[in-house]
Amino acid sequence: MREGLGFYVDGSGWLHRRNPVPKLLLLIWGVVAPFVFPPAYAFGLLVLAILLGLLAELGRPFLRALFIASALLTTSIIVINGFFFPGARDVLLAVGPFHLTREGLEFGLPIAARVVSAIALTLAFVMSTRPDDLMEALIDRGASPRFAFVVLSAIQTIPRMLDKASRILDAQRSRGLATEGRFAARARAIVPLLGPLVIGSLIDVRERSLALEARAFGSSHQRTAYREVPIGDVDRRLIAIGMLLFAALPLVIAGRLAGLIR
Amino acid sequence: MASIPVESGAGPGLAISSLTVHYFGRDTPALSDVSVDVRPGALVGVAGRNGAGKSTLALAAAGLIPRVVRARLEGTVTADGVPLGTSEGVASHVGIVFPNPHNQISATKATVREELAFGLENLGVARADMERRIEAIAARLGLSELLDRYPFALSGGEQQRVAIGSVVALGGRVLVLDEPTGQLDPAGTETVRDLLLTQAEDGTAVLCAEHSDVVLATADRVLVLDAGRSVGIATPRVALSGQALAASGLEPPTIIRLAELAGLGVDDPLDDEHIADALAGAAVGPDRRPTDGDDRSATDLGGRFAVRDGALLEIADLRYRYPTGIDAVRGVDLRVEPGERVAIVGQNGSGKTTLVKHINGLLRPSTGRVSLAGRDLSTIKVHEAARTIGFVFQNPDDQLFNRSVERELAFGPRNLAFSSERSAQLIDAALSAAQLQGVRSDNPYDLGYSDRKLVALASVLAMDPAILVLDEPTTGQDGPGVAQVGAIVDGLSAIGRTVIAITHDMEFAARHFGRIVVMRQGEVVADGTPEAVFAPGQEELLASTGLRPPLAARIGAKLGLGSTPTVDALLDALAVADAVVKPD
Repeated sequence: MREGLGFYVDGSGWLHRRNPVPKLLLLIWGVVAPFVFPPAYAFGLLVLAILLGLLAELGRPFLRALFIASALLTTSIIVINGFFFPGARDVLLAVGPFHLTREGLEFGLPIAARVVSAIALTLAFVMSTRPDDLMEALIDRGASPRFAFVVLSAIQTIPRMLDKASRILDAQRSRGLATEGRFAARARAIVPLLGPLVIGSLIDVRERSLALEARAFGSSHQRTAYREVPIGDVDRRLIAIGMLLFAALPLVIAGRLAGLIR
Repeated sequence: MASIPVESGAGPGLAISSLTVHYFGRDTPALSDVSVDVRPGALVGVAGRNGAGKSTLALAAAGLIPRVVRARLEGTVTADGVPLGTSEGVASHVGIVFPNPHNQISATKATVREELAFGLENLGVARADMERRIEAIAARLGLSELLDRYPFALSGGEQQRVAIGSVVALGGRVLVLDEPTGQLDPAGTETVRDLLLTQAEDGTAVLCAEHSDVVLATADRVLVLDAGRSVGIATPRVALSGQALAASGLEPPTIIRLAELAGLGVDDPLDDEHIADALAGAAVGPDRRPTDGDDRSATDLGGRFAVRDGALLEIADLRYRYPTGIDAVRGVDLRVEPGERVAIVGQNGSGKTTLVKHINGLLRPSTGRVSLAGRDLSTIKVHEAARTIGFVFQNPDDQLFNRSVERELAFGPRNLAFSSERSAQLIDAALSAAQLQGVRSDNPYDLGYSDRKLVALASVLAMDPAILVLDEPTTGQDGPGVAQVGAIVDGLSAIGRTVIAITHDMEFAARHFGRIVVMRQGEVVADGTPEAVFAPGQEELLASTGLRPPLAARIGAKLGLGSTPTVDALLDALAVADAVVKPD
């Protein structure tokens, strides 16, 4: 991970070299598709998503992040459905009063697979794509530079906001404010924390906007870009494939409604 | 909005003529009829108390009023002959740099190189041209080694240099700065000062609002503002003299006082050598003896706060490693007796703040022990420790949230469950110690930055601490503000309280603190009286942590007078030397 670049991990693999636009297009498709296709397809997509992360040379950090991000969610989806699926009869395992049922697993596992594949694809995307490249690429495709600026500066400013919040909390604790323990004590700490945080952020925003003005931000000139984000033939083909894949989704829905796809 | 007529024949550089700025909703104008010309190659300083109009002048000079900051503007401002104020695209004629280094980073770029490109992108400069301009600017401004660094990871001084570089890169020949060194350590201040001199030598017109005499003394001319009006513009030696400043509430900086005392010619360069030479030849008898800085003596707190002994503070082999793996404090031993005044100095990142955060338990030692009156602090919660230890943070805006100064002061005593009678008494005492009685019902955020700093300090004083810890109490303060803080430090010490302050201001440290602790890379490298720490021969050690002895000490060392950390000490030594050389 590099400072200021969110979750990006340095690398030069195939996925790293792709233009962010086709990657984003395919990511969106990959998150939506498992919910469109019948449940069983979700497992296939999950395997593909994990393979993609590994092929992208994201390796261990990718798997670790995937585990951290999905373990709790997946476990709770499987446990709740597996043990508490309403009306389920086919008991696979009895733990005291709790019964793990086949119906529950059949319902829960595909949901878990969909969630995990969406997380895996998102991770593969954010770990292989610099946020500034993504924004430059989107601007190149017609997005507003102002929009890009807001998103990017938010990514870089979050750690600084957290720092500020912890400084404020330190300052107020030093003034005798109890922040530990009972709920009431914690609730009392909200105003002394949020007050300086909001006012301080407004002061920062004012200063920052003046500084941006001094750097001709928002000038009427046609903006140029210092970072070049190349778009190659492979990327163009991937965009075409992405379009086709999106076009296929309504067909899948129609097919499922007509009973042709199960 | 005022229209600014195109001044025909307005020359190169910055020309401000009869400028009046009136913010909406304010009774009095922020600036009245101010004129100043900055020719290419000149560095013009702007001095004045906080609230005198320096920032407003900077904003107007950079063409941000009224286009971005709404106000009524009369008069003319031109940069390189181009009228500013209403027209867009002034960024390619004039650049402005603000006090807070962090807030000037675009927060969208991963390297300094790209940060420098930010403005060029906005101006639509072709990519090949950008690369060339970035390289040229970096080489000229000494930023080449920083080009591939992450902007937020730089030190304050480095960030300010990048901020200067990123506006200079736009090609303007006029550079305006609003207190660019206010939040920097001494080494950072000097690098920025040097950069401004380089810019001026290269033919840029530089206008710099400042409190620091490090910058002001090197200016070609200094404009002094008082309550929005121009007091005058002259060389620093004349503009900042006691006589010229008499009406403005400012005191001459030490360098000017010594120059006056030494009878240094008005056209002589203002540097250590010339002042030392002139002082050596001048007779500094008791009759010519000025007061040291200002007449403010210790604020008498005895009648308002109880005389109370500070508690013994002991730090033994303290080490602290941040979760990121950085060893910020590496084995510090420190024993602070009740009633001591201790200044902790050292460059940014030397571990000063990390160290003092252990004094009230905000941080727990990785190893080692911190104890207060014999009790191990690791067993005491921060809000409990607040009964004994007051802690004032550097940025007042990290603390203030109430709608009146009085309520702000009441927050601490209420947390400590003081009786309403005691609270009321302490609030009055703290208000008068900080001379804030006149604004007790005001909203803190309607006050200027230096008053907000005093409110934050008073809000901790109202908790009646035995030990007061101050983190950079003088940053952003003007001369009288610094003197006010100094008087409070002296006053607290007189009633037995302990004061520990982190500071970058060596003169402040030498004058108000009996003990100086010098930190470098997480360790204490010197600890002693100002006379010992700022003694001749210590320069190298101090420089290794970004510091320089105060001016009086440097002059004393040059003249072979021994250790003279304050102006008083220097004058005493001079008087003794005089008496020896010329016995009556």
